[in-house]
Amino acid sequence: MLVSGSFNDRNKRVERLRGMDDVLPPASYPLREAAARLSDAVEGRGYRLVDVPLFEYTELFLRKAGEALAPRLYAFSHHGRDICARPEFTASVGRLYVEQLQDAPLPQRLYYHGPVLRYEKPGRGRRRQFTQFGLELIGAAGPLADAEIILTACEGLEALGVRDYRIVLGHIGTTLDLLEHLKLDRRARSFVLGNLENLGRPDRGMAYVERRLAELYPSQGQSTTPVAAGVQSEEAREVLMALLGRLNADMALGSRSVEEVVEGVLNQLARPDPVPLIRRALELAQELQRLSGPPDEAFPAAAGLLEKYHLRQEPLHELEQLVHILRGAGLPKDALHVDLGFGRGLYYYTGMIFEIYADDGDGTTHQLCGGGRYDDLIAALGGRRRTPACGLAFGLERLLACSELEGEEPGVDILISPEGAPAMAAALDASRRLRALGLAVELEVRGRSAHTSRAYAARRGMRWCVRAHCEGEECGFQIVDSVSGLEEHVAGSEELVGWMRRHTRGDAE
Amino acid sequence: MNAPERTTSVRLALPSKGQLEAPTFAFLERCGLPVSKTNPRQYVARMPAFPEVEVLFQRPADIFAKVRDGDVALGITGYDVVAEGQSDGDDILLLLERLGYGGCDLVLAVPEGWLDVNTIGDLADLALEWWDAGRPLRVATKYPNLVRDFLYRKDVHHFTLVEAAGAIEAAPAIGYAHLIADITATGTTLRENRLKQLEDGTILHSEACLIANRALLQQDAGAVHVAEGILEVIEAHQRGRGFRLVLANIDSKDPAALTRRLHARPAVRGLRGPSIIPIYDADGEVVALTVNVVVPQNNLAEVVREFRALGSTDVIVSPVDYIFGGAAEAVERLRRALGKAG
Repeated sequence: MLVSGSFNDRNKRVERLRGMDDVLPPASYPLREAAARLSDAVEGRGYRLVDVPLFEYTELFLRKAGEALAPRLYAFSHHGRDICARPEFTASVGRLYVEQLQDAPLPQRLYYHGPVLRYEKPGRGRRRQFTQFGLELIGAAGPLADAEIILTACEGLEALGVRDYRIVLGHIGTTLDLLEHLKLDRRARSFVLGNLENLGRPDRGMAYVERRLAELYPSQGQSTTPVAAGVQSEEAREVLMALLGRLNADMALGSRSVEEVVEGVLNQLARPDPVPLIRRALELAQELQRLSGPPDEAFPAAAGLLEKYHLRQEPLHELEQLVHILRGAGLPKDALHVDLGFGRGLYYYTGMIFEIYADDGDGTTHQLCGGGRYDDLIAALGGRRRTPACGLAFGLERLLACSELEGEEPGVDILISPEGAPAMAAALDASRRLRALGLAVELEVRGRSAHTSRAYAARRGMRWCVRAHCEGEECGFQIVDSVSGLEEHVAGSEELVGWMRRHTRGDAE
Repeated sequence: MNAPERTTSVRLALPSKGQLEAPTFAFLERCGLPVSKTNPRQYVARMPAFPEVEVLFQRPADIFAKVRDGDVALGITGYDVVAEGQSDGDDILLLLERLGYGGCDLVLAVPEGWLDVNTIGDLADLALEWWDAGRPLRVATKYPNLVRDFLYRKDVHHFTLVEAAGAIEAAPAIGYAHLIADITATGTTLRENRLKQLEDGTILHSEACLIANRALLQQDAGAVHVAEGILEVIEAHQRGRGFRLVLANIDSKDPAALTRRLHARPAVRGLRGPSIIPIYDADGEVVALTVNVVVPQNNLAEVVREFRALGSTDVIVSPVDYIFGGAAEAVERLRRALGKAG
């Protein structure tokens, strides 16, 4: 047919998705090594490994982790269900706890690692698929549990040789109090929480947030229905009911009832313009951010500010206790930085929050770890009771960029090659026996000659090249030392194993 | 039968059926690129201006897919289809985004009785309120990607998209969605269905556009030749569209004096200056001069007035089919996109 197919027979290369990486040796090894060292560190504190599915219902992440995450999900409809690839683990582990562990003794210490996917603009240190290693301490409130999380993070960093890291410590409780105090509506709260991070970024700041505000609240200042303002609500209700009654209601209202729409209009009229309140909240948050600094300076300054605005001192007290414990545990004084106005991209936090930063060799700063307390999440996911919890997650790839861990491929000791078909069984048998000695043995499978086998073994850095040759029942092995070039002949696999034992373990003993 | 064609023919897909078909034919005709369809029931045709072009007729959505997948090198389709289907890493090149016809908007519309929902902000409030009540807002659309991205950009996160094929406007009345996002040119269909557009709910403006497959162009010099040729004439035609060629006879025998008078009147000076041609009588004597200028179309009345003031009695105006500059901007863009020096 003309219409289709003339170009379909091209052998077009299928390319890798943007923002996703292949990991080759030796770079593939430090990733595994980092996970192993972190696992050792957290298992020493009683954390147990769990695994959760790569896909979940989208609602799991939207329910509490928040609006800001929605655009970054790999979400799709599959057979009519809204599902997505996990952008993080905490919501999944929370679901797992609610489903399977509510009757288990508390606290539950759980850890996980694996890939997560976020649809973001890829850049330096930000990939669409990356690896998280994290843990959750479920069923414990208070500063000691918070301290355990942060100290575990530090221990993990040290296990990977990350030095000169900085911990930024905050408490979302102050911001939540602020929003409560200003009586912000649901959407305005989301806006403020979602923009705390932008507010603190030197490249964005207040100007950026103001632009977003103008974009999202374009009609600020001018009431959309000024006529009804000031009208008694009963009076207004009657007018609106009559007005809507005259329309062909079914068609003009779609799925909503007349009462519902009237209620909506009245609520809208009663609601104050949120923009001045949002501005106030942002200004206060910025004021809090400006007070950030070493604990000894930040705490007294913040206490004064909270007093001035009649906000609770409790979040500050919790942080002070936490810092006291952390110092007692030997955390270096200058590693800690307190910032009461900072926010994380995820909305489920209720108390202490933190992020840990370090520089890589090229002078770029990476956020290596983040976490905090989320006492409402378990209940929001359907838990029987409110269950306090806190946790952390590392980004492994970023961690490696700042660690001393070097990739090293495991070496292969021996290449064993058969001299033609009659020697294949002997080569296989010998390689099995040599592996039993703890040696790494590669089988020559391309039918190379003795000469090219030796060249290949030398190039791959293998110490010995063994050639199996058989005549009838009689099998022998020629051993060539890649380093010295010395050759030796042994008869039978028993002798080969004996020779290797003498020349490998023997060396070490 | 495919093998020999592959080396010679360049495939161009044009919309068949639907609202873009007739305007596309007319547009190409105006640009001097008529398509000869020997049989109205056939799905292939030729373009005499470029004999190597093989014209295929497809639905607009299929045209996008065929260009993206490299089955076809070039295509004209609706920008809405391209914007909806595009994703990063695609081989789609947008050669000309606005061809000047097939204009329409992708808009959000709610039932007109929703007195409390007039803006995206109102919709955002409603979405949150309903989400908290366990009732997700359902939006019916054929454009899930554009609608999702738009709502996210406007901080509306709690909604479910209902992908529907036909009669989207009826969805709120039937009840399978609460509101819709659909294409509209005049808003008539929306009004007939008792829907109103949100004040700030225009997601996208779309016109017919010309697209190409980058990888195919990179490996097929013939396709690049065709693409550049088509871009040249379309751009020259679009540039010419706003201008008129004016010939005015003036009773004067002194070109230098006339030039000075013309230069004193900016409206009749032309794009770079007037060209002046003498008119001779039977004895070879100059009896008058013809001024030849290209002027903006919407300036025509003033131009005629000025020529009259200069003493002209006959002013002849004709359309400008093409204005070719040094090099078409779209051709430069294409070369940059293909990684070739301009």
